[in-house]
Amino acid sequence: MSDGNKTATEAWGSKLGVILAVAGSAVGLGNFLRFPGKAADYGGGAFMIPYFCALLLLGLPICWVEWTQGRLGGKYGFNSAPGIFSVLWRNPIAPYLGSIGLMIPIIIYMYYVYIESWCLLYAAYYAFGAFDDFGKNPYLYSEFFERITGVLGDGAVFADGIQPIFWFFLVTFVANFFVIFRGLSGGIERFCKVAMPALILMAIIVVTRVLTLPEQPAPEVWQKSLAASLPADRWNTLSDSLREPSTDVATARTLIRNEFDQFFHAAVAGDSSFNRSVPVAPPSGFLSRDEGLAVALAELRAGKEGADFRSWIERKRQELDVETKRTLQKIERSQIRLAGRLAGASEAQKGVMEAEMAALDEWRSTILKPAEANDPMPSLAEELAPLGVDGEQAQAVQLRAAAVEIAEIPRTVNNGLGYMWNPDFEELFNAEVWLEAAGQIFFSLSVGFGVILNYASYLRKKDDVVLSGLTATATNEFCEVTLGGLVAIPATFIFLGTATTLDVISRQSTFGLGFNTLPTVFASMPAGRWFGAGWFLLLFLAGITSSLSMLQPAIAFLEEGFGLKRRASVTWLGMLTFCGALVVIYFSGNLLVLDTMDYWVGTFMIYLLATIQVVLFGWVIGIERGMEEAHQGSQMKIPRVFRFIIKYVTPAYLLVIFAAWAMQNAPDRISQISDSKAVFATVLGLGGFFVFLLLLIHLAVLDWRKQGRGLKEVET
Amino acid sequence: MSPIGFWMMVIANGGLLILVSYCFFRVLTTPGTEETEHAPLEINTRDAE
Repeated sequence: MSDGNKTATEAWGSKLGVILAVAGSAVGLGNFLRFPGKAADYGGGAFMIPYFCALLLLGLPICWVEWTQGRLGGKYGFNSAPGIFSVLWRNPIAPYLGSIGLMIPIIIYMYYVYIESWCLLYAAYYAFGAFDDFGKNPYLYSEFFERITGVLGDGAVFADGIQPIFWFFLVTFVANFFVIFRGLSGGIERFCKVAMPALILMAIIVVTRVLTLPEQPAPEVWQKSLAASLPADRWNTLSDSLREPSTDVATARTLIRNEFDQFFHAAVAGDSSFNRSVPVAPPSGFLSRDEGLAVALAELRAGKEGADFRSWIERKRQELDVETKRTLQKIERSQIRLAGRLAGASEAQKGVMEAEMAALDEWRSTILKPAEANDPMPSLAEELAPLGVDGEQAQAVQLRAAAVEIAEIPRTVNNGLGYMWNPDFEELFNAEVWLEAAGQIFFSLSVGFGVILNYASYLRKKDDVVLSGLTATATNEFCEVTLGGLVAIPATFIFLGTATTLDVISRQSTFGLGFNTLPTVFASMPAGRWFGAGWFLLLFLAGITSSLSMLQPAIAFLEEGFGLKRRASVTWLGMLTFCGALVVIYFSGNLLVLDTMDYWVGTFMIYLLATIQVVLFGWVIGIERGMEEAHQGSQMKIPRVFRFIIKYVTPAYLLVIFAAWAMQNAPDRISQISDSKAVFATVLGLGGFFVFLLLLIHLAVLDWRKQGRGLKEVET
Repeated sequence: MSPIGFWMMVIANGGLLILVSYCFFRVLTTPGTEETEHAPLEINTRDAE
């Protein structure tokens, strides 16, 4: 080979290396776990329009802004957000604004590392065949997830001895710190250049499998599926107890829960006296609430009337078209959300919400009226009365319980894709959807995070930031929407259905959804066990690369603020984040602490930092100077329209969403703080940590002023 | 899936595929990108002890 050819080949190899590194950096847990959870929670299609608006008008512009600001700060010798901000805006308060850029990655790391450990545990359990007996039964995976991660209650990870997840967490935590302490990130980088494309390739195979899945049967309601799956004597005992007039709803709930527990233990133990091939599903959504359970009990107790009621539901399910069923689902989703908000509402708000609830009941009744005209719903009012549901309420409650079942649409890939992509224009008036969509874009692209700011500060003056930023954004979005979205959301719809999906998200956080549905997909694939092991191992590695980058901003701050060496910085940070992660693990009930951190830091603070960054770029540095700075060494120009977008559209967009959120949703979130001790303690802890960071920054700033640091450019 | 949902899916995924391809094409064909393009994963933080 001639020298010329050799050089060209080497250059090509290096360029390919750049692309692989971009792909490796782009893929993270946000793509395959957080995005599907958020999209499914907000109704798929309702989420995607705000999501793409946020990508074009927030994510991409702020990505360029952050890369540019980071590199500019680096020119003056700063690598952490407080230092970089002090360069961008020569104002005494500027470094303190940078506290947000320090806090976000540290706090997110505290729960992110726990989620990484779930991936490692799943990889190991798959490799050892622990899921072999679970088959395609989503309930078993859901139940396993809840038990293993401690969702069932605070302290569950340490109850009955320390649960395995804690050891996996320790391994994950130590692995992260070993790599960063020993400065082995280079080795990880080389490894990930191979591993992450492998994950992308695997995702393409899984997408292919998901898109070719046949229609899945919806699980029967619990009273039918338990009858088919439990040994006959167990079911007879349960059924007799439930029919007893003295059994109230609370007792029935406990009895039913106990049988589901038995079914789970039988599956884990491989007990063949239980029929594990029957897809069972515990009551979820409205059917799991007191009124929903009362209807099921009334049906069991009503004898022939109960059987007639069931036949009526089946007939209506056959008769109604898909559009009507979607409308019924939408009404149900609105009522579930309303019920969630009602719990923490003030007296004044309660009146309005109850009126909204009644209007939704009325809407449902109107939709089902034609279906009832010649074929009225058999009434269970007589059986419902002793269960505390009487009068006019009985009719509405029974109709709602029936509508949940009637609204079940065929679980096909086509309908699953429809769930993700059919737009719901009414949801566009909900500010929280826009805030969450923007938050997902920021989380996923790691912008407004403090991480890109930090990494870009290590670039040289003539390194490109425009094409680098665009390539990172495009690759990330491809992984998230095309792969993450097509893998998890249709699979979620097919295997869990809408009601269970919402239920799973409300109990297991948005990150939990993928651990419920993907195992069911792997169970539908040849060599699914090894696919599962490989998938979760690669996801674990993707998580490691992201979490390593989350530690670097704080390390940089401790180094430049207090003159600590890297290993000393890592040690301090290790102790701090370990304590924070323990709080997340201990208070694991419903993953409420994790979700609270993810909302207030992983959405709200990211959003705040992004606003500060874009205002600094467009209005303090000045858009012309900012663009000039961005174009230094760039391989492409930022389209001119982005000058207008960055200066006017992006800040206005951020402010409008913020104002709408403050009016519509902030009261609910704030009342959640006062209602839940765990949420209150978490927010208080976050506030205390923020004050602590401000104090550290103050000390660092005093030192920088003394040294005259950041006043002139340094060699990079 | 409704027709509008179908077109949203096609435009969104097609658009992303075109954007990724364009970026990779630029990185692979523009001279010198192996020196000037960077991803967080391979940026040297220059603070190893």
